[in-house]
Parts: sequence; structure tokens; C-alpha cells
Amino acid sequence: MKVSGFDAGLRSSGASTARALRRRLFRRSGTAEEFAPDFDMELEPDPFRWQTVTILAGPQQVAPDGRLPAPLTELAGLIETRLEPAPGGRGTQLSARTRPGSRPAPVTADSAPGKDPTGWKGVDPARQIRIALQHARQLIEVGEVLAVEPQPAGKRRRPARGLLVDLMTGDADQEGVV
Amino acid sequence: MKALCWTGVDELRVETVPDPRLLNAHDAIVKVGFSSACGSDLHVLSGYLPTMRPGDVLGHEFMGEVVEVGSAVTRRRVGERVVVCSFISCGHCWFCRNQLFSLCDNGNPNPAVSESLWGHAPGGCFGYSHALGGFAGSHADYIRVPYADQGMFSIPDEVDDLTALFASDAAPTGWMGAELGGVRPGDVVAIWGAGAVGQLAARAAALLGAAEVIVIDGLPERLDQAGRQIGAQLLDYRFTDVTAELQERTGGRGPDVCIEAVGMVAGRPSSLYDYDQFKQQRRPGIDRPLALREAIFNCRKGGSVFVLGVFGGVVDKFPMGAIMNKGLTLRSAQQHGHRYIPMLLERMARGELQTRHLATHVMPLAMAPQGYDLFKNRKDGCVRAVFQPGQ
Ligand SMILES: NC(=O)c1ccc[n+]([C@@H]2O[C@H](COP(=O)([O-])OP(=O)(O)OC[C@H]3O[C@@H](n4cnc5c(N)ncnc54)[C@H](O)[C@@H]3O)[C@@H](O)[C@H]2O)c1
Ligand SMILES: [Zn+2]
Ligand SMILES: [Zn+2]
Repeated sequence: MKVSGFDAGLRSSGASTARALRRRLFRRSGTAEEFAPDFDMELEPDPFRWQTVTILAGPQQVAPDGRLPAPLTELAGLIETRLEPAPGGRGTQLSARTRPGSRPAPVTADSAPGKDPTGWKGVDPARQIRIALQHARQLIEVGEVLAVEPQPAGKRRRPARGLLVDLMTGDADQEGVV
Repeated sequence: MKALCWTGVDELRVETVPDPRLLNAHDAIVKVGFSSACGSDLHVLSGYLPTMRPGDVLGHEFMGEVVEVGSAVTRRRVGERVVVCSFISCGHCWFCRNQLFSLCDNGNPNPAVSESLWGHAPGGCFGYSHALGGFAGSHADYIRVPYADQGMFSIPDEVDDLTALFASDAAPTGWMGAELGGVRPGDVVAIWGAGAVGQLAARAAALLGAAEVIVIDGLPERLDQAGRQIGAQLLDYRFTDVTAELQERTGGRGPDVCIEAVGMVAGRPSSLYDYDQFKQQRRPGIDRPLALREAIFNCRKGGSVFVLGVFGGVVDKFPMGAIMNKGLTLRSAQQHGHRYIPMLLERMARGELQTRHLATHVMPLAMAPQGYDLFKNRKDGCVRAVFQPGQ
């Protein structure tokens, strides 16, 4: 089955909400005609797909004496990791994926965070891995993980439609998005 | 403190919100002196970029005074007068090291939103939706600035606050369009849009040696500024056929570099305009690429088109055949301001780059909703509504 680069990228980000947001934007934009073939062929994300970030640092800085950055050690028993040099002096490619056997219980709409007996904290392991990799990169490149909340905001009203961005930004319980 | 919040499609309100505080060691807090409305705000305001949450604080073009710094800030000090780049960049990742600052890997804490829309996430931007990080904006008494050493620039004494304000966004954006568009001495450069960004792209093209700079718009007061303040040649699309006129003025070659400084809310009566508007209003996500099509169509063979105007989704009736068969180079970017701001401030100090005239409507923050009404609906000759929170 053909998988476009556009869709393949999404799959590695692991979030079905991501696909839903894109689908909504493009379907409602009237470009469904152009995108429909790809949508129809969208595969379920492969739960064991490697996810990768490139870090502008040598392997010894990324994992000194084989010790992984903190955001990944927190998932230690649940994931496999891999380090390889990036081409062209771009640093090191750090990859991680769910360890076969640590696959969490099937995710359903009412899966409770933290209740998964396999040890996964959230409802979406792929997303947790992605965030851990991104945080690892920030720690190594900058020295800290960029925070955004708490910050000034006006009254958060729930709009008539759409919660997708909230789901994707981890604020599903709070407010909505138009 | 007070801040201007987006509360829904085309709805803005000044609300009382919590003060920002330092969240990271590299942060600073800036007391906002001036904060400008920008053409980009119109896209999020109207819900064309559907990633806003009610309560989000708007604003990304600003200057002010540093009032607090985090423990890791070494280059900026409390009390300093600074202008802050709209985009948030770390200075350390591969993109920052390659001067692609608006693409910083570490500037957007919520990359999943834009990865899903665009394949990869650009960096973060103040006050500009959750696709670009969800950071609170500058239309407020105070703002938190992450990576403060990287994103805040000290304003030279010779440069007044209102002039420096536009070194935050409009000036670096315009400069980038001319520079990365490849303007060379002797070129003919055409610019669609006589807003702040188009005018400053025109000035940049002239400073980079363009022989002729033509600015195209349909708003007489803006064209007037582009003529008097920037020294550009003018083309008012209401009274003439843009294509025929450009052909005539360029010896049939077409402009060497075409810069689009309009974006997805392009206007102008035509059957394609009606078609675009119909689609855009019914279905957010379809952008209106009127000026973009025209730039591509008119560009000389082998020339270059730089898209400064913001697009969010997909465009319709895109003239790919013209790009391919005429051998055009098409480039675009959110502004890599960190690359240009120190140089622009020096030019401002030397009097080479005027920007004050863009601030046609300066008002207290409390009047910001009215300011956006003037700006959005092009009332009263408004080029930029600028808010002054302290007043
Ligand atoms: N790339 C970046 O980093 C960046 C930064 C700032 C602004 N922008 C974008 O640049 C664009 C311009 O910004 P601005 O603040 O000057 O906006 P603005 O809205 O003030 O100006 C846009 C101008 O385009 C003119 N226009 C509309 N349709 C036209 C057409 N068909 N032909 C010619 N002119 C037309 C309007 O009359 C107006 O004067 C916007 O799209 C904005 O989002 C991009
Ligand atoms: Zn802007
Ligand atoms: Zn960076």
C-alpha cells in the first residue's frame, strides 16, 4: 500500500489526534478531493515504529558512558533506544521505540492516565516517547526544557466546536479550540 | 495585569490576567513599551489558522524594558531597553547554527500541532496560536521572554522606541524577503503589499542595490507612504492592469525578484477573488493566494519569488506550470529575525531605515480592540495600530 511522506511523518508522531486535526482542516477546506486517496489509505500507526530526533552533539554528550538523558531513563524498562551519527556533521540521531512485550493495554477513550499496569503513564506511549526525545534534545542542546505554562491567559471558554488542539497539547480537560 | 485576549473568531477583549513569571533559567520578563498589531494577526483573528484557544494573549511585535532576568541570562540586564524578535529560538540547535532561527528545534513546546499540519514544526512565536508554541503575546503590560540572551536586542541610544519597535518583526521580515529572494545590484524588484512588511521589503531591496523597486497595492494612503517614505515606484491595482504595467515598466522581461507581502487574506476584485473568497469563507484551511499567483505569473524567466505573506493550509489554482516552465525559484520563511536585528538597529541609528511612519495609530492598550478594527478594516488610513500598555 502506498504511504505518502506526508502521512508517514504523522505516523511517527504517533497521535491519532494529529491525523484527526489534519483531516478536519483539509476535509473542511474542500481539498478532500486531492487528499482523499491518502486519507483512505492511512494505516494505523505502527506501535513499534522507531521515533528519532537529531541532536547537535556527539554521542558521548548525548549518552555519556551509555547513560541516556533523564527523560528517556524514566521510560527505561519500557523502551529500546539506539544512537547513530547523523550525516553531514548534524550530530547524533537518538531513536526510541516501545520495547516489544511492554506494549501497553489497548488504548480506549476512557483509559485512565497512570493506570496502565505495564508502567506507561499516559494513554499514548508513542506520544510519550516523542516528548521524551524532544525533551532530551532540549536538555542536551540548551540545558533545560522550555516551559510554557503557567502563563498569562484570559478566561478559557469552551468554544462550540473542536477540542483537537487541546488533546494534542495535553489540555484536553480544560478548554477548547476553534 | 491587563492583556488583549482573543476570545473567539473576530472577537477581542482586554482582560485582567495573571502576571507572567520566570519559568526557565534563560527567561526574562519585559515591561512592554510598545506592541504593534501585525498583518499576521489577521489570520489568527479570523480563525483562518484554526489553532487558537479562547483566552490566548495576542501580540508578537514589541519592545520594552527588562525588569527581571533568570539565573542563566548573562548578556541582558535589568533596566535595559530592548527589542525582542517575534520568533523564539534557542541559539544552539542545528537550525539556529545555520541561521534558520524561526525553524528552531527547541522553540516550540507543542510541536505535535504543527507537525500534524505541515510535516514538521517551525519554532515558536509569541502570541501566535498553538501551532507556534502557544506562548502568551505582547499586547500586555508584561511578557515573559524565553531564551532572553538570544532573542532580546539592546536598542542603541540614537534609536527611539517607536522606530525600534519594528525591528522586532516588520523590518527583519522585509529584509529577509529581499536578501533571501536574492536581490542583486541592478535588479528590478516588485513587491505585492504596501503594509509595514511590504514597505520595509522595498526599503531593503533598495539598500541591497536594486535599480528599481515597484510596490503594488490598492490602498492609496499606503502607496503614498511607500512613495514618500521609502522612495518606491507605485502601482495601484485599482486603476491599471498589473501584468501589462509590469511588462511595460520592465522592458518585457518581468521583475527579477517578486516579493509577496500580502498573505492568505489577499483582496482585490476579480472573478478569481470571488472564487477564493467563497471557498475561504465556507471552508477555513483554503488560503487566498491572489497576489502569490500574480507574483509567479509576472516574474521574469529564471527569476525568484519570495513569499513573506503567511499561509496556513493549502492553496487552490496554484500556477505550478509557470514555476516549472519559467525556471523560477520559490522560497518562503517565517522571519529569521535574529540574523538581521543587530544590523537593522545599526541602520536605524544611522538614519538609513525609517519605520516610525508605520505607527499611524498609537493608543493605550485599553483601546486595542478598536485598534484592531481600524487595522483590519483599513479605516482612517491605518497602517499599524500600536498599543502602549503603560498609558
Ligand atoms: N514571514 C514572516 O515572518 C512574516 C512576518 C510578519 C508578517 N508576515 C506577513 O506578511 C504579510 C504582510 O504583513 P503586513 O503587516 O504588512 O500586513 P497588512 O495586512 O498590513 O498589509 C497587507 C497589504 O496587502 C495589500 N493587498 C491585499 N491584496 C493585495 C493584492 N491582491 N495585491 C497587492 N496588494 C494586496 C493590502 O491592501 C495591504 O496593504 C502578511 O501576510 C503577514 O502575515 C510575515
Ligand atoms: Zn508579524
Ligand atoms: Zn534553536
